[in-house]
Amino acid sequence: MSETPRFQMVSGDQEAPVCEDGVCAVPGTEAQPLTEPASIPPTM
Amino acid sequence: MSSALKVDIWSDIACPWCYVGKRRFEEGVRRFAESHPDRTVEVEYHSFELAPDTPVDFEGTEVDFLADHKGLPVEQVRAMLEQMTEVAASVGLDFDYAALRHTNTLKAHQLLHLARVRGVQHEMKERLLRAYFTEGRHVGHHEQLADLASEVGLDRGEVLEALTQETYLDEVRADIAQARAYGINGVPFFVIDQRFGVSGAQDPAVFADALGQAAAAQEVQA
Repeated sequence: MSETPRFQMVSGDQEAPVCEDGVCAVPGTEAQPLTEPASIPPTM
Repeated sequence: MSSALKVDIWSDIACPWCYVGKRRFEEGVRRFAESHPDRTVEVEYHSFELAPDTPVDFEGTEVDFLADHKGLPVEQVRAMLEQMTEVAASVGLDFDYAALRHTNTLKAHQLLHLARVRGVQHEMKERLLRAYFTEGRHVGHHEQLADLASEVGLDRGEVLEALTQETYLDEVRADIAQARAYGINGVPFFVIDQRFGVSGAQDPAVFADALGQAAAAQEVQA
């Protein structure tokens, strides 16, 4: 469903943290594996 | 004469990186303004629901939500929240996960659209984030939202009517659809002048650089 962004992405040298699917991990920490949404079963 | 740079930001209330990213973005704007004193930056917040399946009256803590509702290990969740609290403190934010009231944010997003129409969206956004992450306030109930809205100058009666009638539900849905069309899966997400995208709570320097690139592109086109 999603389309390619129509804009040029600007990013820094380090991974920028985001929240996805209700989970907000801290990059570079032991909680990082929690960012894998595929491991989270759908709840709908 | 230079036109304003428009920044569209997709974010959620229940999103710690959105709050941290807001502070980093604001610092980026401050740095950009120092080097571009003739330019102005206009910001509009857009709705994004990180966990639309969250009940309004979730019974439990943030640890419970992430552990039980999302199936994550409790110890890993605790560590994650501790780290997040430390990161928040680094930008001057005082997170209190023990007091946090996890809830569905659909109504809060509708309130943000009303606030945009009334010209106080930035104030409302900041008030909702502080209420949620620092004060342990419930941001899913009409009455509590109306209380917070009145603090930023919105009419309490108008707020209650808009929330009850779901006056701005279509606007929230449109924001989410736009995010999907852009391929946005995580927030915060920043779109500058419809040309440049920045994903995540980047360093202020990245935001300042992106704004500078957008300003330069605007000048080339002019």
